[in-house]
Amino acid sequence: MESPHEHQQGLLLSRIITNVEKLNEAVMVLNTALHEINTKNMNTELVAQMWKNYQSNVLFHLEATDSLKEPV
Amino acid sequence: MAQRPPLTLTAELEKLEQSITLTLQEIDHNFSKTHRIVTNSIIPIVERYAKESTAVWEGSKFWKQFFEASANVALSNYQEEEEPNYGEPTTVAAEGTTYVTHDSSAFPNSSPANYEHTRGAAADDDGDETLQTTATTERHPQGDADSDDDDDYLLDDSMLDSLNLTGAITHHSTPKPKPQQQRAGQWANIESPFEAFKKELTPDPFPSRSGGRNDAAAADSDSDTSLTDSLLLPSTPPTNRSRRPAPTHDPSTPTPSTSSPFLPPTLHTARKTPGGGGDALLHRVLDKNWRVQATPLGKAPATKYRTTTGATPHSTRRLFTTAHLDPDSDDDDRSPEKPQLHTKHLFSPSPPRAAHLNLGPKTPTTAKAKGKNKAPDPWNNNPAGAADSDEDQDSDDEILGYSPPQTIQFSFPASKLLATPAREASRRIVKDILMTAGAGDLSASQGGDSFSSPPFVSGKGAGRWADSDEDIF
Repeated sequence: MESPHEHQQGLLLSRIITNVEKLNEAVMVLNTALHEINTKNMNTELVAQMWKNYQSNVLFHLEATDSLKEPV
Repeated sequence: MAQRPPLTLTAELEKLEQSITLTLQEIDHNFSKTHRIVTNSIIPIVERYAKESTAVWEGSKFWKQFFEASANVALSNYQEEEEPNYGEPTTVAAEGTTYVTHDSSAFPNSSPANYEHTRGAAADDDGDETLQTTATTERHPQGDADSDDDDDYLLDDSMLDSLNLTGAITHHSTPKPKPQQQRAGQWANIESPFEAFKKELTPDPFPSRSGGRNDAAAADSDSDTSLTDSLLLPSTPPTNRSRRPAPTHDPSTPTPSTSSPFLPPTLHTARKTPGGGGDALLHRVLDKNWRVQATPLGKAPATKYRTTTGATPHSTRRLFTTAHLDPDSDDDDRSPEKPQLHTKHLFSPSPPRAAHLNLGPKTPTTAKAKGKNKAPDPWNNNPAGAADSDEDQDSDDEILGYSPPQTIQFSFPASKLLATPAREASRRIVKDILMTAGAGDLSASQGGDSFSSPPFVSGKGAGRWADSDEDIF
């Protein structure tokens, strides 16, 4: 009863499902890695922002106290 | 015309079967190729990037600790899910519709029916075809033994060309080429949802950052996003987004108002309203907000009343010097302390914290009970304590005036300083200096005045005094 096309299509769909499962696992791994990276980079970014604000505060203080000197 | 239809129908059916087979092969090929790319090329690069970023973090860890120690807080990032109701219900609804229409709940994510449903929503024939394909998946078990022949299918890149060939062949048999062209157009539309999905993903951050998540939720691609919504959340675009909230911090810093103690509360309140939380917004990733939480060190925040600055020794020293001299002058207390600068550096403390940090040194003695009652409210930032926050605003002076570190200062030295050898050592040093200067009488009188000296100390000092006399004279 089954046509050859139907049989072949069934096999193809099973292959597709298998490949999608593999791809899903790979993407999950990738997302986990990216999540960890983002978390770590957030701390780094926080440090950068703190330094940036420190720099701006220092600049403001020096300008306010007229002690800012030109770079040598 | 009457004799042709059966022939054309069989030929048409055969053509459709071939096209379906070729389409499935192409889909399979694309998925396998995607898996290979992700596994072999992307993941190693991401791992290497993780190593590099870890190295960068190791290098900058010290400075984070440095700033934390300077502000006497512990910074931590925490994830706050904000407004998840805008996108998810629509995606769930879209998923539900797809599942119901295609009746392929066994393989919802992997079934190509979703794509074809989105593709051929206008054409009814496509919906029937997808039903057939999903039905075949349920009928036939997975042929794992046959599915191992990856190479055979991977070599079928040219099969798509044969799709066109079959279409060309069927031109001869079928009198109507227009459906073929439509089908070809539909085939061209298969890739368009992905591109549209990409396009929809890329402009997503802009409305979401601007606070308009509604725009993104209105997109029709929620059926596609439902497949990958949970997967795409931590994806790389946040890095681009993460830098854009940063300018929200920037205007506060370079302006001269940074040194003024009045601006930070406004900034924090401005940040407070969109997020709901009191902490500074660090990132905004799709539906999730990453905020920076600053927990004060040394004391439990809930029970203590804004004595975080008092926990640090330098702050107590400052209190000991300045607060006694000018207990009433607020400006004098603020100017040397300026903890709001720390809070600005760290972005994180909520406005009440900053206010309390600023105004801790004042010392009215009546505010203890009030301080104990009101202190947990600013720490917790509870919306229930809105009335209390109003009271705090009204009675800032009273709250600000309360400073426990001074009580600690008063209770501390009387008992413990005597037990320390520092006083004895300092006395010896002073005596030696006075002896060398020839002020023996004065030193003797001071030794007598040293009310807190134990007898053995004084006797020892007398012995040294006699010895020193002998040495000198």
